[in-house]
Amino acid sequence: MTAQVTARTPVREVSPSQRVGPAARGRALREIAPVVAVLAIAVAATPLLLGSAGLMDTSITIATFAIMAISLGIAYGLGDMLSLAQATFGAVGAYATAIATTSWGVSPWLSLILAIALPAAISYGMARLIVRLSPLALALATLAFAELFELAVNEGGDLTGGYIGIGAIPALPLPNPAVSAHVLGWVLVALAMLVALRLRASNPGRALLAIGTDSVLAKSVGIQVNSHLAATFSLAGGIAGVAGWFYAHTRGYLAPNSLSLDISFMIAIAVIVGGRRTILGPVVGTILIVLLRDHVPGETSHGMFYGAGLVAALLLFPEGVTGESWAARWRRWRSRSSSDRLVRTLGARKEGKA
Amino acid sequence: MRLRFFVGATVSVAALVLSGCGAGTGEAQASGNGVAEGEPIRIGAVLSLTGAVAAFGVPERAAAEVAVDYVNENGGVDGREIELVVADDMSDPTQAARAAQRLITDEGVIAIVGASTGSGTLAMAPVAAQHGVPVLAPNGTIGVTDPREDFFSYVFRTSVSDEDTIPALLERAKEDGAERIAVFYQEDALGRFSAELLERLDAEDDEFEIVASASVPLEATDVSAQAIRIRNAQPDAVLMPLSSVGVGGSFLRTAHETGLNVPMYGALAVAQHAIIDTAGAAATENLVVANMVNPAEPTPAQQDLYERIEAAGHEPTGGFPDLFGANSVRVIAEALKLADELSSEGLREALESGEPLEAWATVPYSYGPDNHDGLSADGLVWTTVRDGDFVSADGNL
Amino acid sequence: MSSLLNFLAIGVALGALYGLIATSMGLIWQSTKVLDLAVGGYAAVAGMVTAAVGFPWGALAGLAAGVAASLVMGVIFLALQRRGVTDQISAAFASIGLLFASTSFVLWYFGTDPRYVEFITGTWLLGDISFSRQGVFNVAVAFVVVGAVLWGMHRTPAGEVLRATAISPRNAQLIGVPVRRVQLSMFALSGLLAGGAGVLMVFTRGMSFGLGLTLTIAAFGAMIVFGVRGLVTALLGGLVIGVVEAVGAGYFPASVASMVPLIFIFAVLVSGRFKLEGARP
Repeated sequence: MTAQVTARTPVREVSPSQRVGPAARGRALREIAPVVAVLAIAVAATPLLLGSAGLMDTSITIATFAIMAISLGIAYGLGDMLSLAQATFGAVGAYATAIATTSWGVSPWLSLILAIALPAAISYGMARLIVRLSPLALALATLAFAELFELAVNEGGDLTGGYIGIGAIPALPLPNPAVSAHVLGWVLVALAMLVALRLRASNPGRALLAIGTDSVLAKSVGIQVNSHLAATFSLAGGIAGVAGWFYAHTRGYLAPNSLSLDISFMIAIAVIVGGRRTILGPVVGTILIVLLRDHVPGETSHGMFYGAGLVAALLLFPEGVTGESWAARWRRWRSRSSSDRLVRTLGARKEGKA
Repeated sequence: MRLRFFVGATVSVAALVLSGCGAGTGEAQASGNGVAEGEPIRIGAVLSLTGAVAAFGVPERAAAEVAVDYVNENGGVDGREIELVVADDMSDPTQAARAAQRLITDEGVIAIVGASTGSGTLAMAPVAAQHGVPVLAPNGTIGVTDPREDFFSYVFRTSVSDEDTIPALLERAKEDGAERIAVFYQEDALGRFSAELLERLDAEDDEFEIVASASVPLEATDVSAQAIRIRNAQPDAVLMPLSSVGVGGSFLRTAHETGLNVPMYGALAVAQHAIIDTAGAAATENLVVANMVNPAEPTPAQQDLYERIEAAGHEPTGGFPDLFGANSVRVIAEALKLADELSSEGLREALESGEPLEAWATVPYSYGPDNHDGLSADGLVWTTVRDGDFVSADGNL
Repeated sequence: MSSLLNFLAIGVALGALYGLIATSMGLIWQSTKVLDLAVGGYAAVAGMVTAAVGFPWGALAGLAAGVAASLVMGVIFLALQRRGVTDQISAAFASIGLLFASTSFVLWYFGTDPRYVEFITGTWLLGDISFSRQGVFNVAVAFVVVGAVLWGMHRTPAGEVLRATAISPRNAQLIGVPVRRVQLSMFALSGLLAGGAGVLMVFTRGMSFGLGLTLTIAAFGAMIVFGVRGLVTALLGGLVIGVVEAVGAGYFPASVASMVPLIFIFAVLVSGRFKLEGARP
């Protein structure tokens, strides 16, 4: 009897991330839903975009910046490290592939490896210097790095093309270039989301959440805080490098200020507005910001709308648009207004007595 | 669990690729846009209306719009009106390329004026070339009309190339008797190219010597240190390949105040009224600037242009944003009048035909199949400042 | 040698203005722990308004404009507090939003031309060294103003209230201090300082719409040079940054000179001397 049971239900070691009971399956489906949704929307939109090269181009732009935003979502959402250098790491990847393909004749698919490895290495080195800093100091350090990199690229002479940049970067050898770029872009977005998802569910990901909650406690239970954070930052740098590689081969031209600090700010705003702690947040934020930038009225007055929008988003959506479910938000607003009334009534009564 | 991810991803990718290929149209190598019957001729403009380069983009737009009105009031192109569609590239090359894409495919423009920066033009050029749409570029940046570029056939310069302007500055300084020359430049494509070119010429040419070279970032808060360094080198003349009037004006004023009283030769971009305001009337008496208009005797057409810009409610800068913004539109209109058909390809062939094209410049524009620089340094006029106004340099120095 | 002394003189004059803006940033930092990155924008707005109104009333108008701009940040800060958004990143990003908006406002309203207003011209010569008279004036104003602020903070009852609120807003509230009003007045004071720097700058070098960010970065560098300790260190930090910039510009090409303040900021941040809450041990 026992032997039969044993044969039918073998006992095996499962690590927490490999539990496959029905509850866990349901949770896993829910987690992967955003990725599937993004891919599905991209597929559905393709026939619509075919009619307009401008819209297709916008989709490619959104995809490029969404990959960078997801990388920031990993660094900032999981690791509490606000990097204002994600576009710069993208630029490292972009320049790496541009130089490799134009000066050395390397195939774009091969130079992708360089476009990931170089920013990952640089960001790892930088991370070891800055992970111990407070969020604000870390952000400012990345800002300084971003400005320095642009200045250095200007001095690159023939290698980086100096102020003129690098042109004639070969497009990816795919049929139907515009449509393929759109397809590839959103596949890359989906893959980046999957990486973020897997990281969250993995042991290092849980370690990051522990570090984010209480780093002293995390350290006391043996988590190597600095190593984890540096590795996460490096991963974010590598993903940003993929975005840069994609940018270089879809635009064909790279100037020192193509992927500048301005773009990093835009990415950061996208992640803050969209929600840094969710998988979908950075993508939603990117879509909102790119569309906002394109359709905001006025030209010279553009910055006023942009700035006002940013402040409004910070006030209205502190956890980002996707940070709270709308039901929870409604409940919070209702409870706050009723407690306001309570406080005011109490205050009035007290003053009346005094 | 992991398997599910991979399967899901692969299936999605396959579906996307299939949907992409299946629904994709063949890559039609567009040969430009045309103009429908009874429709106005649409011309696009990609200019920097915000961001660091707005100082050029905004006046360029104003001048371009005035040029459109002028053409329409004078019979249009064979009776057809022209229409300008303007997009802001936010001083960002990515946005320049996107704006060009949108203007070409969604707005159906047959030509594009722009961008305000060399890097913007270089970003747009491959897109425009791919769709067969000519670009009229008001830039001096050398790479824009490089015959080795794939997009060469489609980009036409409406300013004067830095490759012509800088040696012209040098020659003028030498003619005026300078042997010890100092260079004050800003850190951008123009400044860096000029400094390097001058160094190369210094090595080859015994008639002059560069005694000091100082540079300044685009958004400089102070240029006194550079001014002092140049003053201490005791030059006979200073060459200023700059485009920022704020920086140029500061430098002139500081130089004047610290006793550096030598001629200062400015590149085209510096020929704007604002520099007189920023530097002060006294300091600008040393300024010698190359311009495409003789302020003492503008051609009647140029005078008319300035009046029109004022009538439209804008302040003419007095310098190249007005001229090249307007000329870029005017050149298109004049070429279209010669063209076999009202289309992008017709325009391109007409431009390359070598026929002189009248515009608001001291000489007509003229292109050829191998030369996409419409103007050379021969058209440059030398100006200086007296009593707070630009005047002709000859006879006043 | 005289070159070097000349560059020092230039650097001190420039640094005085950076120091004023750094003091402005430092005031807000000390009282609310907010990093106000819009201070350069206050200076830019003030400078452009001064030029638009013209000398002499322009200076007052410019100061008023600087105060108005900083009060906008003050209101935003209070709104964030009320919403319970108390983290520094959000506040810093809100100030970035204001910096974008103020830059755009200046571009939209005043146009692209740089402006300059003549106030004090000429130089004094001491041997081989020339001192710009406007520069000397700027240094004097900076020291007098910061001195006055310090005197006000330490020797007047109002100043004590300000400092108490800065140390602990909650305690101050418990003893009946109108904390919100006090914090707003700190923002106003900071706007006055940064605005003053903007007014002086339009007299010295001129102002254009794009200078806001450059000034903010320089002011931040100045604030952290000696560690964020007080207003005097912010002013002195400004002088240091100004001198480093001027000497660098005098001897090196601008591309190198521009990198120096940034490398410096990076080095100071990495060394951990810019002490903030939340630093990981």
